[in-house]
Amino acid sequence: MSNTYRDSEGARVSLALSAAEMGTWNLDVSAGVIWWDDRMHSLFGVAPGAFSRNYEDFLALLHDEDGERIRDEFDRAAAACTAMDTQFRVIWPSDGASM
Amino acid sequence: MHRHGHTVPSDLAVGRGEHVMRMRSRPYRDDNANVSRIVGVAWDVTERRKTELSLAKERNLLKTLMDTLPHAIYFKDLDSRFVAVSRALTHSFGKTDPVEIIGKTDHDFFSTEHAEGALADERKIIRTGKPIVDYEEKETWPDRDDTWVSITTMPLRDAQGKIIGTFGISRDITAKKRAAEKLAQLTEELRAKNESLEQDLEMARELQSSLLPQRFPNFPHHANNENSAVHFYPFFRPSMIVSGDFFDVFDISDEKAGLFICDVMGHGVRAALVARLCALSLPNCVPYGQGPVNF
Repeated sequence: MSNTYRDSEGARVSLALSAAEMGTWNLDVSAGVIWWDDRMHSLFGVAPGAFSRNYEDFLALLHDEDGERIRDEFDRAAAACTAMDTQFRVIWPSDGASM
Repeated sequence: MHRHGHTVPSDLAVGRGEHVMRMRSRPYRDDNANVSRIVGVAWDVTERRKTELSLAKERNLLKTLMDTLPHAIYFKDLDSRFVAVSRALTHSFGKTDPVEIIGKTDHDFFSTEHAEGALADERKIIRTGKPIVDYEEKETWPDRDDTWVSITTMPLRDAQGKIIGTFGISRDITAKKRAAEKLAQLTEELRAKNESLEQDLEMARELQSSLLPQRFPNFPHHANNENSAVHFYPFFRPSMIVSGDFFDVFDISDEKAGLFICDVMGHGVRAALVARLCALSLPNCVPYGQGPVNF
């Protein structure tokens, strides 16, 4: 990563996400594939690049009491085309390595 | 059934090793108007969640205290206006919602006399920082009987230690106080009755002493007090104020003196009365008295 700053919307968004310590993700609904950036990996206690990108594996990382609720919210967001704003608990894998 | 809606369950507890994430997303449609992608962000809110839970817990403790303790609890600002009051205080002021009391002062509820007294106490606490602990006080109301409370008032300080008002708790002790007053009244009545009884007994003692023989027969019968062959020196001391015991001396003949000493079982007024009955019939028995055995 270069230290030379070139102003662009992408650069500003990247700065904002970094400052807010936010991870980004992107779900392909029909394929059941969810892409994570590096910060998503660290938020879920998974080594960078070690996440399988499988939607079911993502749900498996959630607290037992929250998994089904979040699946439900994703289903509704997809069916009704609505935005989500939710919270859930994550149990970090003990080795923090691979999924 | 699963939970629905976008709000977070308020009971989302944070266990050890658990991380709380907040996630927001936006859906995107494909050319067929189906949602094909959901894109979002996520960030860690564990610390915030823990703080919220801890605050909620403390709030619940305070709420429990304020809503259920049967004593009046209040917090007041520097002008002695209520800023928070317990449900018990609300009810004692004849209101149902604490909101009806917030911002008001004692003047709005108590008699002027009582409100002024409380205000002076609070100003002193604010000035000196010294609390008033377990002080028993009479409350006077404009529209009902006086009540009694035991109050503890403390200075209310902010995080920097600066006094920003007062707070306190007052317990209704009216029933206890009334019982104590009743007891004092009964004690006084009892004392007065006892005093009157003692006076009666003292009179009985004097009466009893006067009934004991003051003069004694001379021997022989025609002798006077100086040349009598026998003299009598009685000593009488009752074990209580009045006693049944008594004695008498009489002449049976020129050679025989009768000495009657009566020791009654039991003491007090009843014994004295029984003995007195015996004494009244004694003179009738004298002619038959040839000795104690025959008597």
